[in-house]
This record gives sequence, C-alpha cells and structure tokens, in this order.
Amino acid sequence: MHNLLRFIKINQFLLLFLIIEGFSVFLLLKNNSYQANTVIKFSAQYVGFIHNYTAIFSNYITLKETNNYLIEENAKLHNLLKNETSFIDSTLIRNKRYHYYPAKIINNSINKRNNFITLNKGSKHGIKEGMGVITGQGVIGIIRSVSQQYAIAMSLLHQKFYVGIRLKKNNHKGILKWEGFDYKSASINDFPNHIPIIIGDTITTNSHSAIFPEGVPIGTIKNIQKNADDGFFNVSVNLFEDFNQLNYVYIIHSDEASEQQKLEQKIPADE
Amino acid sequence: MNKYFIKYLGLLPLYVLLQVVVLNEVLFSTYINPFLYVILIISLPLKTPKWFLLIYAFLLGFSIDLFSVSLGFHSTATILIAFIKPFISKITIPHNILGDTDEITLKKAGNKAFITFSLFLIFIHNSCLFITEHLSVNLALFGKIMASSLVTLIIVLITQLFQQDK
Repeated sequence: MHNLLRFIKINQFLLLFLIIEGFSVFLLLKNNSYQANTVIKFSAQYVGFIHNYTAIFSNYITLKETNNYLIEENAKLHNLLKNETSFIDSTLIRNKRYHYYPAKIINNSINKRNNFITLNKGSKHGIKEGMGVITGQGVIGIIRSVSQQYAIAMSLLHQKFYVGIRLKKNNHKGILKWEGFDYKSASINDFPNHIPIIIGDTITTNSHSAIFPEGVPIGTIKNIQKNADDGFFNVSVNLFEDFNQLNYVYIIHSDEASEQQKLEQKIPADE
Repeated sequence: MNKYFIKYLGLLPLYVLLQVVVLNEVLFSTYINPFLYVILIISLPLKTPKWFLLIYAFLLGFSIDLFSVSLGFHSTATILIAFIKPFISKITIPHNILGDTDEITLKKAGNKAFITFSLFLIFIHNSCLFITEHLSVNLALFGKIMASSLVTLIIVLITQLFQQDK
C-alpha cells in the first residue's frame, strides 16, 4: 500500500495526464453516441446566441451577394410559373410533398474535416432532427441537433455525410461524399466503368432518399479517373454551391418520408 | 503563483472568444486555420503546478470544442502539448534565462529560444489535431499541418510584439 501511494505520488503528472487525455480520446471516439449528442445540444442552446451576434455583423457585409442570390432565385421561380407545362413534370409533383422552412446560417465552417452549420431556426419553429437542408443550388446537410431557437446541421463537408446521386442525362446512380480538403469539390468512388460519362455532366440527387427531394442539382463532373485496382471510375465533382458564401438555406421536411422508412424497415435486411 | 491562476483563468474566455468569433471565421485558405489559443499554454510559467497545467489545458480545449462542435479533438491536442511542454522547454530554453515564475515570452526567453520552443509545441498541436480529424496521413494533410503551424507561429509572434510595448 505504501509503495502504491509512493508510486502515485511520483508519477502524479503522468497519471493525471493519462486520465484527462483518456477522457478526451473517449469523447473523440464516442462522437456519435448519446453523450456527444447531449453536448452538441448544449452547444446549440448556449453557444448559438454568440454566433447570432457575429452573424449580424457578417450579414451586413454580405448584403450585396444575398441580394443577387435572391434576385436570381426569384427569376428562376418566375420562369417556372410562366411555363405552366412544367408542373406536369413528375419531379415537381413529387417535390410538392416537401415543406420548406427558410433559415439563416449563423455559423459555418469549411476548413475542418467534419464541418457543422448552425442555423437560426429551432424546435420552436417546427424543426426536428433528421430534416434535410438544401439551397436552390445544392444539398447542404442534415439537421443533427435542435434546441429551442437554434439547430445544428451536419454539413455535406463531413466525413459521415453521404448523398445518393444520379446522372441527369441517363439516370445512373452513385454515392457522393467529401474527401476532406477542397470545399469546392466532392467525389464519387466506384462508379461503374461501362457508363458513358464525360466531363461537364450534371449531377443531381436521386429518388431513393427519404430526406432530400429528387432532382436537387449538386454539381458537374470535373475529372474522371480510372481506378487501377478494380477498374471502376473515381469521379470528382465541382459543387454548384459555394459553401464559403452560404447565407440563407431551406430546411425541408416531408410527411411521407417517415411512412416510406417505416415500410422499408419492415423487411429484414437478410431477406 | 495565485496571481497567475487568476490571470490565466480570466484570459481563457477572452482567447476562446477571439478564436471562435474572429480566427475561425477569417478564412485565409482551406489549408490554413491558425489556433492562437495555444499561446496560453506556451506562455504559462515554467514552474506552474503540473495539475493546473493539465486541467487548464483541458478547460481550454474543451471550450474550443464546444464552440466548434468537434468534441474531443481540440482538448486531446491541447492536453498533449501541456504534457510535453516541460520536456520541450528543457531542450529548447537555456537554463537560468527564465525565473521560476516568469511567463515565457519573446522578450524574456530570447528570440531564438522562444521561436523554436513555440514552433515545436504548435507543430505537435496541429499534427495531433489534424491527424485525429482526418484519420489518414498524406501529402495534402502534411501541407495543411505545415501551413497552419507557420501562420499560427506568425500570429503568436505578433501578440508578443504587443506585449513588448508595455
């Protein structure tokens, strides 16, 4: 006993370091668990208002870009209204199931491996976990945590974010994810090599997702590389949306999504 | 020593706010993200009780984590440099230059010793942070570590210039 106490006394620095560092690494590894969620919730609740203040300042600076963006969006909607025939388009009818909530971004990062976005809408406005976040120009993320007035969304620029995509011209499907450094591009790995693709093809979301509507534009193909090992294509994509300049987004939600998910869950995975 | 406890605990929220509100928002490039808050660990006096050093590092890292929704990443890196700080200071800072209760600053430690000392700590901090974040080692990541370390060092040196004016 005496020796043990002496050992602890001599090595107290090392032991304290191991305990605290162990706790940190535990937090880091458990980034997905219940504890992490409560901390993210805490962050949304108490840190949100500080970001709100800084957002007031930065919003003033970006007023010009915001105006331009809104004018373009308006023009697009006017064009849609004018060609009433486009309402027959099946994608539009499908998209009608979705509710749109406008939200303002009050904090955003693009230079980490896992980026999150803080939005100024919360449970008070009807936002729930798992809703999608988009703009007219692309998929932005998924709501990860909600407090009364704020919500934190996992950005497309996150290790664990995958979005199902299709080629606009021939409906071939794939999965898009972010590689970690350049916020202007993402990549699709394992794209079958018999599909004719060329640089410049447009990519949109596919119809499999319960979160995002079909046909949200995402980007254009920037570069195609044949994987030497398996012969599949590695495709890199230029994103339409500039994540550095994001300002206003739509949080979207579909009542029918939960029905779809419930139906799909009924079938066991091994069947 | 108690004087320093209070001073540094008071500086903590200031540097966290500066980091979160200003430095994380100002984007030089996706490869560069300066972490000025490391200066608090660098400049704590050599004879700071070690338990205080570690717990202070945890508080600092954890509050940065809370603001940037990156649970555990910053605290792991900050505790690591707090742990190795005594060893690094032994090999980079000459004996007898600093008193036991002097803060480690550019003026007191001398240019060469301070720059090598802080570059070591900043480099280890950034490496730990980015490697745990990306969970891979490649050339682009190495570039990110180098670029961020250098920019952090430059900003740390700028804060030191202001201290000298006093």
